[in-house]
Amino acid sequence: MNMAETIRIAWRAVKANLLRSTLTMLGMIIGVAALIAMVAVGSGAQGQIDEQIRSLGANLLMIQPGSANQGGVRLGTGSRQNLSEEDAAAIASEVPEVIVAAPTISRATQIVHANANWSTLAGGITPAYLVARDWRVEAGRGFTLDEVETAAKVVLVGATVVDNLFEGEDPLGQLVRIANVPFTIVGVLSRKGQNAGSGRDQDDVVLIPLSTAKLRVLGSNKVSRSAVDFLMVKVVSDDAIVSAQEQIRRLLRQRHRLASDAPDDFQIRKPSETMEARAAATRSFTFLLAAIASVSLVVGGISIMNIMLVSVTERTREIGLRQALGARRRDIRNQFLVEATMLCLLGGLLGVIVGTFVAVGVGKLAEWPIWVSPASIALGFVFSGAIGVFFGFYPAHKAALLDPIEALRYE
Amino acid sequence: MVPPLIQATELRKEHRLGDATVTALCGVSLTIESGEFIAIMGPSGSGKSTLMHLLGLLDHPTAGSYRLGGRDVTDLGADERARTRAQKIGFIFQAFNLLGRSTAIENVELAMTYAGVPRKERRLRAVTALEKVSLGHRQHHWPGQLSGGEQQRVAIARVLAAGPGLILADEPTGALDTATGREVMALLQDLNRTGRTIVLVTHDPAIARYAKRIVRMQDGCAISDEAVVRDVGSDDAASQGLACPEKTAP
Ligand SMILES: Nc1ncnc2c1ncn2[C@@H]1O[C@H](COP(=O)(O)OP(=O)(O)OP(=O)(O)O)[C@@H](O)[C@H]1O
Ligand SMILES: [Mg+2]
Repeated sequence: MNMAETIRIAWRAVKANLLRSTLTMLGMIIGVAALIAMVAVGSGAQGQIDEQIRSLGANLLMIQPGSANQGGVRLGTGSRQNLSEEDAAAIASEVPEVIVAAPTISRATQIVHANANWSTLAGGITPAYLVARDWRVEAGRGFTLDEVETAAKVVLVGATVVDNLFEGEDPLGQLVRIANVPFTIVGVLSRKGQNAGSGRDQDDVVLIPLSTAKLRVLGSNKVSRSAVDFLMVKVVSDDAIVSAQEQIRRLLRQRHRLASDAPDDFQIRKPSETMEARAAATRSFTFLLAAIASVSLVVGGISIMNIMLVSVTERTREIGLRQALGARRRDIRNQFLVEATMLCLLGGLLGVIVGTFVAVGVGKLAEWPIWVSPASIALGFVFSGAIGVFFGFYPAHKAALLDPIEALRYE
Repeated sequence: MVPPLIQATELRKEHRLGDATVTALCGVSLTIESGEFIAIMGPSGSGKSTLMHLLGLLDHPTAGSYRLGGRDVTDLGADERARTRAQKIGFIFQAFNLLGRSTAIENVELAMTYAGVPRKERRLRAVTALEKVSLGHRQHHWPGQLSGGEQQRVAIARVLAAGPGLILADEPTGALDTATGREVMALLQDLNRTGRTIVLVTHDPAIARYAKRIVRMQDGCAISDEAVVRDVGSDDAASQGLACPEKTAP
């Protein structure tokens, strides 16, 4: 007997006992739904994290002055401004894993264009900063070395600033005043969106040359002319981060002449870590769903096996009659195997539908990004099919081995 | 020479029940030519169904040999037996002949399905067969909606459509009233006229008289084997080489 025939018979059996079939499928439905929801929430969250890390700049380390909190006491507050442009240069030249080290200062400031005025964050940067943050200049150009050296009054503006100061006007070449100093806009930065860690709008920013910032805008420094607020360091790869971090630490301790028992007077942070911490919430939910999925799939498989065993017993006479009419053992076995697999696949199908709804619902409620991938749907089907074959095999085998006479005599 | 359709030699069947052994069939030899209509009679427990199951390849004999259509089928494997059943043998049981969750026509098609008849042809043959047993209008009825006699006629249509050479009917009229039983027997008789060999098990002498030959059994042995003489009584019918070793052995 061919497969199409077998499938038709199995479908009839599933349909004949619709309520029972549906109840039997419940475990599979819940299991696959949880699986789909799990993958959707998990991969959505992962996608968001990846996206945010990318927007921050990949393989980035941020070095700030001051010690880490120790026992609730903040140490070394007196030496706040102890990172210098020279530190950045030394890191870039002496740590091989480092691609660029960008000395940066930043201040809140006002920017004025014609009658419009906007509060924003001003960054004093070198061209290395844009490299470190993988930040493109979308229109216009970046700073030239000459402009950096001569403290030229040029500025790159973020997308939010453009939105708020120039309504549809082309900002390139326009004159703006930052802290009352006139600047020419030479470039517009590409859009980065919100920072996942702080929630701050990364596009609400203006960038000016570091030298200009120090000399003309953000005020001179009390400690040293070359002092900066922080360094942004880009490392060649994710694997190199730990080693680079250690080398930078050693180099800075040496440059700052710290005694061997003195604490660091700087902190090296991996900004992506804060995002990954935020991702832990979604991840624990993902684990919960994974637990539900695996338990329900196993329970679902067992309940299908149980129902199939009952069904084989109930249909003993039918099996005997089929055998008398010429069914081979493998015909009988396939019949029950296909029936079990069909139950599981139908459960899987319903599970995919329910799971998609659950994922979208959870995503809406928790404001998580959701991504129901075709791969997870395929996985759900493969899983349910495999469970059907695995748990359906024993009952089917049992049915196939029934003796025709005993089956026919069965009351 | 064409070999006999059925050639059973010393067929013996024992059942073990714990330490005891029940002999259901004590060694029956039986030769049936193609085209015969033979009735097997005997009291309850005499081994009629057991013999029928052995002839239908549903069961293995404990001893003895069985040739079907000239071929030794005594030790055939399960798949080969199933294939032979599908193609050469049609069963009609006393009751529960039909799958309750399939319609009349689907039940008729079932045997052809296992015999590998293509779908279209199956449907055609099933319709024709149902019309032959006057159930053309009940094709899509469920067995539960049919009377006992109608159910038996569906079973006959199934045999008719599949067209096996050998028909084994185990008390096909046992659950029917006399009139309905006669209708069923008339159909079987028609089948026999078209050349099918029929082995019929029955308690009822009136039913047995539809056959051309009667084998009587008792305690697992065939005790008589005689042709039915239709116009006179059947009492003086000639004995035909029956065999029960316990009785004929020296
Ligand atoms: N599985 C079995 N185990 C033990 N004994 C069995 C088994 N099957 C049949 N028998 C015995 O074999 C003998 C013959 O049984 P069988 O069913 O062939 O009788 P029968 O002539 O068809 O009777 P009936 O007219 O009641 O149908 C009986 O004594 C029965 O009890
Ligand atoms: Mg019987």
